[in-house]
Amino acid sequence: MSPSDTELIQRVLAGDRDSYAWLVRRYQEMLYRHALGMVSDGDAAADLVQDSFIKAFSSLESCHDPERFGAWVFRILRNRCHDYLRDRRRQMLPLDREAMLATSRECPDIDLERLTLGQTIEEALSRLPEAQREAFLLKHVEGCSYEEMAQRLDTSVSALKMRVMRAREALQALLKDRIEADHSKGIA
Amino acid sequence: MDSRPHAYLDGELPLDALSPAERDRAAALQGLIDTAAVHLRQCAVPDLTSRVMAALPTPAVPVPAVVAEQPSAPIAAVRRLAAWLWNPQPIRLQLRPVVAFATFALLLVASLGLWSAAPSDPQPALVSETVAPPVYVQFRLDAPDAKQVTLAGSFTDWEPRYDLVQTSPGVWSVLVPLKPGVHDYTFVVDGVRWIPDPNAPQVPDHFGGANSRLTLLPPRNDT
Repeated sequence: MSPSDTELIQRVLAGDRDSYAWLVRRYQEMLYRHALGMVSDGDAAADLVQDSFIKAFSSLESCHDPERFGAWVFRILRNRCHDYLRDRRRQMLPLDREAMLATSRECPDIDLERLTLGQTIEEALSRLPEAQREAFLLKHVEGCSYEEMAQRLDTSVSALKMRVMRAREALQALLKDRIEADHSKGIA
Repeated sequence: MDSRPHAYLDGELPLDALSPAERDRAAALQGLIDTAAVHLRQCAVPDLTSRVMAALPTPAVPVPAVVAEQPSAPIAAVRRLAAWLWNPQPIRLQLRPVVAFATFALLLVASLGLWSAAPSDPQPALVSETVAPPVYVQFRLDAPDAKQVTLAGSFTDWEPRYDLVQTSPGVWSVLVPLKPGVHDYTFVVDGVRWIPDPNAPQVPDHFGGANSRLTLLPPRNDT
């Protein structure tokens, strides 16, 4: 059996830094996917995950429920993502769709189609309000139940259902034509 | 906005409770969810372990609080003696000049003798080594019939020191911090069978068998 989060945290607090690597391995995928969905930039997502793990390490003594380390470090990452998006909005860096499409045009046909679909999904996600994007990712990419989401986000189940519903509707409006075109070509 | 197709997607309504139009709407939404989720789940996830571990802050060494207390009598005596030995003390000498010259000449001859007897080669200078941060390597073996799997290698003096744990049925795994460089290793199944990693390059073990070889580059510090 793998050591539990509590056991690993006790080891780290006793001076065994190497045990922290277990925790990183255990949660990095979940955190990275969430960060990537939120910020739509792989390098930025990796930086945010790294910062979150470092912050968690530095304040590990304040993790009062070690068995829920994953939820705790997720909360740290969530705040990091909010800060990052707020700073990005402040710097007025719009997503450069023209440059993105120019890059896509250089790719071979089938890859171009697939690449563009992926980019279109990421762009549509980035246009959702943060709270809706977050709820959609947790529900449909990470596969959380509404109860788990409510615990993680400190929000009621009914509010989360509403956010997910609005996110689905908004995404459908943004992606409808694109997905239908791909379905008709049989490459979605 | 019609919430009934969403209620179906959330498992709160059965499909046959929806009208044909609501079913179409639910199917369209389900297609959207599947497409988006598949794309986002397919994205490659980088292994950030080494990067995070290299960037962890060094813990501050706690400084013990100074407790003001009176030293015991023997300790006080030792401290007084040390202070007397260390602090400059006035010394008064009375010498005959001829004795002083003779002593000086004797010391001069002795020091010259020692100088000539000293080795001519300079002592090698101590080189401070920079300790590279470890690289965290996950070793994994599929061994459905094993009761126990351990890892031995050049980094353990070939002692089966690391126990692998069964992360899912038949899949054994362990995370090991290693220094950058070349390491040979092998798995030890049930304490008797030494088997190389089927997913790694192999080198002869000079006993008629084979070991696995792993080459680790230092982790990049591009944080």
